[in-house]
Amino acid sequence: MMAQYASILFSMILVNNFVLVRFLGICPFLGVSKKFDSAAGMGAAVTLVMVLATAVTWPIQQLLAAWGLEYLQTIAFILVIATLVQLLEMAIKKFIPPLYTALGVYLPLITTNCAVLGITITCIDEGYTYPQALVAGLGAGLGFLLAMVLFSGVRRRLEDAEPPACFRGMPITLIAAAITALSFVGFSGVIDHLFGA
Amino acid sequence: MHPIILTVVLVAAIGLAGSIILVLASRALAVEEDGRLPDVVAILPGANCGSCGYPGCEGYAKAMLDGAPVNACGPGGTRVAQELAAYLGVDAGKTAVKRAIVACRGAKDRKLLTVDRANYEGAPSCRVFATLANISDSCTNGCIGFGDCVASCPFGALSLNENDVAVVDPAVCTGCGLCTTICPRHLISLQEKGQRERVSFVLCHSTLVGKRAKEACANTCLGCHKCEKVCPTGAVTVENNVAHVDVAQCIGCGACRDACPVGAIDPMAWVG
Repeated sequence: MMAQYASILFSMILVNNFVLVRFLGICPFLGVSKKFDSAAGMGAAVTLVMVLATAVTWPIQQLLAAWGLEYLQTIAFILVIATLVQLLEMAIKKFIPPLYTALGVYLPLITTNCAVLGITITCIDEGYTYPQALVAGLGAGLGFLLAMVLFSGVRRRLEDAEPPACFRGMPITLIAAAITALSFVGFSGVIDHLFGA
Repeated sequence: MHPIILTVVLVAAIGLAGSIILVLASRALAVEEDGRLPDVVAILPGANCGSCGYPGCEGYAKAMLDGAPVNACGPGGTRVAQELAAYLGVDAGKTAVKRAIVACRGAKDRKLLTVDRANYEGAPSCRVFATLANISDSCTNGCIGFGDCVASCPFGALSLNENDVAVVDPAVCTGCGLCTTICPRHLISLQEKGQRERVSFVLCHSTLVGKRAKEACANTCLGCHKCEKVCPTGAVTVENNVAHVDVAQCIGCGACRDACPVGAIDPMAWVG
């Protein structure tokens, strides 16, 4: 039982990392990863939204399925996610003003972060139970956080590097992101062997 | 129930529930902003020029509410500093009056216009011209006259005169300094007001010598040292064949202006 949850959690963090393996949520990944503080803050905010979103959308999906309205999934989920992000924005503005200024426009943009919609729909498609879905949401969020934090470190190195002029700025950042993503390919199969799932 | 009605009711219900939660949350999590902020922003000129060193007028307003000095606004000058001081109940301090000035008089038939610009087919922009154009033996320190600085001025203080040379209207100029970064030939500088209402200023940066200088532009400074000799305070120096007036030492007597054989020195008037 525990092994199953651990398997879901770590496969979401490492093997199926939302940013580096599934390429979801690239916008904040490139936009807010310049500084460690804002990257970690963004990762934590997205993790929170992902867990809350799975917690709310899973019951809604059961409701939709009971009435045979599964085709409303996308619109209903987006509505819920948008509400959650608004809520989170108010909370951050109230309790952590520096993070609010650091995240700027990327905070409301979590609304349209496909990683959040991605995890809610993944949980439904994989047929997870409610606790499994929550663990998957947490795992996906932590995976996002991990990717953000790792890449903020990579970018700090990039600032001191002196690539050819035509690669400076966004091009070298994208190449670095691609190499970071490549390293995550190495995790495929690890979880299956560890937990035997 | 008809599926369409069910669909609409369901989505509306989710939306309603969400909005109720948000309304309650906005009450509970409301952040109090300093009520004086909009008033302070209203006093500032709103040019968002950045001459104060803060990101835009609102950034400066926030900084002032946190205790920053009120005299940093270049466009607003003394008047805005006093208004801000009165509103915030602090000392106004001294505001440095700065004005931009273009150090070129040009001439209608200067070689830059008659040869270089006549053969130039690129975009009508000084900065493009400076990188692309073939420069003949014209003055390489003269105003190109496409008016990049005119377009950059948020206050409309710059214009091109009849010689296609940019001139600053000191009555409109606020000293924000945006134009000084635009000119590819670095002809525009900010001058700070000292004791005098008027000072002399050399309106030429040409380092060309003698015949070549005269051929390139009729109003060029020849570096003849006449101004240097007549100046009673030693404010004028000639270096690299071009005269320079130290504004801080100039007493505005006009001796150098009268002595200049080509009229390259002009009084600079302060307004405001």
